[in-house]
Amino acid sequence: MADVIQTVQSKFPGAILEIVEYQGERTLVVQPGRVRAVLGHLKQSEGFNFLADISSAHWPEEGRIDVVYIVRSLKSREQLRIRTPLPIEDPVVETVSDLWGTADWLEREVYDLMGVQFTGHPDLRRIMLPEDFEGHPLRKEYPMEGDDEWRNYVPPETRENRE
Amino acid sequence: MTEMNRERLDLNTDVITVNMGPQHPSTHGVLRVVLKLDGEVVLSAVPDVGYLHRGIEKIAENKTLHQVIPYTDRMDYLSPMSNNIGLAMAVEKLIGFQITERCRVMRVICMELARLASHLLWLATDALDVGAGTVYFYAFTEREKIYDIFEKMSGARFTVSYGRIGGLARDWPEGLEREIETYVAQAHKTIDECDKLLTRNKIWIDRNQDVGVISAEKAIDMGLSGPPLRACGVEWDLRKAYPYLGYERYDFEIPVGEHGDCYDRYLIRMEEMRQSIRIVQQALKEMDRSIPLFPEDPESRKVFLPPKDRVLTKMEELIHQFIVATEGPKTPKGKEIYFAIEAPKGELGFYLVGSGTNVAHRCHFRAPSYINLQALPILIKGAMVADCVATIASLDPVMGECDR
Amino acid sequence: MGVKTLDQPDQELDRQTREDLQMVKGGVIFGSLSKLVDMARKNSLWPMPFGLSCCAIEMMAMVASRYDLARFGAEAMRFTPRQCDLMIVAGTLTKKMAYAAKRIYDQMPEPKWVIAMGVCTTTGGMFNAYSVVQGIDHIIPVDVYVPGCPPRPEAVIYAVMKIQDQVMKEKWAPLGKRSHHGHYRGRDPKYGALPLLDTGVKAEVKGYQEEPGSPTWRKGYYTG
Ligand code: SF4
Repeated sequence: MADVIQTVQSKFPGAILEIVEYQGERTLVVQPGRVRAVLGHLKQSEGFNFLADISSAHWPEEGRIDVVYIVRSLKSREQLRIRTPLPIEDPVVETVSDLWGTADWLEREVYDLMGVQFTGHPDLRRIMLPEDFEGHPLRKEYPMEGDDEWRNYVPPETRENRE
Repeated sequence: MTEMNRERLDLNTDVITVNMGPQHPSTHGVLRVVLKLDGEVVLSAVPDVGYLHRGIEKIAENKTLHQVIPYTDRMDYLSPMSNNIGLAMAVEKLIGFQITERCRVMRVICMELARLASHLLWLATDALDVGAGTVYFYAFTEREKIYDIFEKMSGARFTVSYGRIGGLARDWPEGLEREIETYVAQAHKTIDECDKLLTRNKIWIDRNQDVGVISAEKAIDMGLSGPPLRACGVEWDLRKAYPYLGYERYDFEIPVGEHGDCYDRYLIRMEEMRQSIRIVQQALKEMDRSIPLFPEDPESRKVFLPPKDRVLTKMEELIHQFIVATEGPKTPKGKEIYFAIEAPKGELGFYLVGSGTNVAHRCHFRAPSYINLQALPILIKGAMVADCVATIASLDPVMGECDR
Repeated sequence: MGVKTLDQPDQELDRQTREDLQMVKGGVIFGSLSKLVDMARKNSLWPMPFGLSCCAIEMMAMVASRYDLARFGAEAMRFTPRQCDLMIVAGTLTKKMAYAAKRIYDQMPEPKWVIAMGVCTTTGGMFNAYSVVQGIDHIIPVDVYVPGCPPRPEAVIYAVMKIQDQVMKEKWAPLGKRSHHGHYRGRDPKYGALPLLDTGVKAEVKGYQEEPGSPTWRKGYYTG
C-alpha cells in the first residue's frame, strides 16, 4: 500500500493534499483537477480494477462538497479511497465513467442528489428524481420534507382528483 | 401473387420502442426499461430507475443512528437482517466498538438465514417469471418457516430491525437454537426439490442457458458483485476477501460459474443456499449462552441500547436507555469509513461520515442492486424480449435498495 | 314466472311457485338480481397487485401457500388493470411513480375498489421525505386502509373481507353513472402523455435510418 502512495506522489507531485488514515483505511485527498489522472494511473498501472463506490458529502461550513471514490484491486485485495474537495459555488470534476463502467450511474446519482457536474459524462441526467425536480436534496440546506413547492407537489395528471 | 401478398412483402418493418414497466415488468419492483426492438430482438435497452426513491440517505442524515436501523430494513426488503446488521457493523467500525463473541455468532446465523430467505424469494420469482409456477409455492412455504424463526427472534416476521449498534435487539428466546437446528437440518429438502424441478428441466435450460451473458472483464468493469460476478468465474466474496464477524473460521465454499449466463447465476444461488445451511450449522455449534450478548465494560454501555426486559426492570438500565437514545454513540467528526458486507445481492457498502454527534453527517449506501442493474443493457443486447425478463429476474434487483 | 324477487317482499307467492318450491325442497335462492350479481362479484374478486415495495412481498406471501387467498376467491391476480376490480396498492408511492398509479386505476373497469396496504400507502408512513407522496388518497380514492409496516397477511385478508362486505352493501348504480371513484378517461387529450424519457438510445440498425429529428422511437410509449 505504501508504495502505491509513493508512486502516486512521485508521479503527480503536489496532487495529494493529505493522507488520512482511520480504522485501517487510507484516504488520499487529491486536488480536484487531477483526480482523473490519479484514478487513471491507479487503474492502469496499479491494478485497481474495481470501482466500488462513488459518494459525496456536503460541508456547508467549509463551503465544499467532497466527492469520494473507493477503488479496489481484486487481485491484491487492496482498497483505497480518493477524496476530492470541490468548491460549493462550482462543483465540477472530470468524469471517470470511461475508466470504469460502474461510474456511469454512480456519477449520475451524485449529480442528481448532490448537484456535482461531471464533465465529459456521456449522459448526465437525473436518475432518481423526476426531470422537473428542482434542487439537490442531499445538500444540507435542502429540507428533508422537500421545499415548499415540492412538498405538496402532485403530478399534473393526477391533480384534478384532489378537488 | 395476389395483391395482398405483394403488399405484405412491401411492408416496412420499423424499429419500435417498447416501454416495460414501471409497474412490475417482472415481479421485481418498479423498474422501467425502455427497449428498442427490431421485431423481437432487443437492439438496446435503457433502464430507468428511481420510481422507488424514498430519500433514505437524506432521512438517515436527519435521524440518530439508532433510528436509521429500521430504514435499512426497507432497503433490501428481501433480507432485512443483513442490512441492519451491516449498518450496525459499519457504525461500530466508525466508533471503534468491539462486540462480544456470542453476538458475532448470532449475527452470522441471522445473516445466513437472511441469505437463505432472500435466495428463496429470488428462486420463487425467477421461476415465476420464466413460467414455472410450482416453485413459487414451494419456496414460500420454506420462507414462512424462516419467518417463524425471525418472528421468535425479533417479534416481526418481515421487517425485523433486529440488528443494533453494539449488539442485537434482544437475546434469543430459550430453545431457539434447537429450532433453527431442526429447520436447517431439513432446509435442503426444498432446495433439492426445486433443484429436481428445474436444473435439468428442458424448458428451464432453454430459457436460461446462454441468456444474459457477460464476460468476467466486463463484469468487473461494470462493478458487478455477488452472484452475477461469481457466475462469470471471478472468485470474489467479501466473506473471504475481507472476513468480518469471524467468517474465516467457518468452512464454506464460494461457488463460481464459468459462462456468466442466467443459468450459472441460478446454479450459484442454489449452491449458496446450501453453503449458508452449512455455515448456520457450524455457527450453531459455536453458540455459547454463557458468554454475554453485550460487552460489560462501562465505556461500551454508552453505545448500545440495553435490551427491553432489562430496561423495564432495572433503574440504571433505564438511565442508560435514556442516555443512549438521546445522546447515542458519538461519531468522530469528519472521520469516514467504508464498510461492506456480502449481502445476498452482492456487495452492500456503507459509507459513513461522522459528525461529532449521534447523527451521521453523511450516510451513503452502496446498493448492489443499483450497480448490478446498470449492466442490464449489456446483458440483454441482442436477446429476445422474453430473455429480457429472465435476465432481469436472474440479476435479482430489489428496487427498494436500488433506488433507496 | 317462477322467480320471486325481494323487490316485492310483501306479495304472496302464487300457488304455482309454492308448489314448485315444495318440489325442489328449498333448493332455490330468492333475491334481487343485483344481490345475486353482488354475491358472485364478492366471491370472485380479481385483485390487481400494485406492488411497489416491501409490502408487495407480504402480499405475495398472502397469495402463497400458508395464507392462501384462494379461500376467499380472490387469488386470480392479474397484472393488467383491465381485468381487475380490486386494486391492492402495496408499498411506498413516490412522486415519480404517482402518474402510473393514477393511470392504472383509471384503466380498471367499473366497479372497482382499492385497498391501501401499509402505512406508506396510507399516509407516507416513516418516509416523510421529499420524494414520497404522503398518502395515496391524494391521488386515488381508497376503500380500506390497512395499517402496519408491513401489515401481516391476515390483516390484508381481513381487508379483502371488508371489501367483500362493501360489495354486498353498495348500491348498484346503472353503468356509466357509477363514478364515485372517477372514471377512465381514455384518450382525452387533456390527459396528456407519459412524461417522455430521453433515453439517449442511439442504436445503429442495418438498413434503417432514423430520419433526422424524427421522434418515432419516442412516440412508442403508451399514451393513454
Ligand atoms: S408500510 Fe412499511 S413495509 Fe410497507 S411499503 Fe411502507 S415501509 Fe415497506
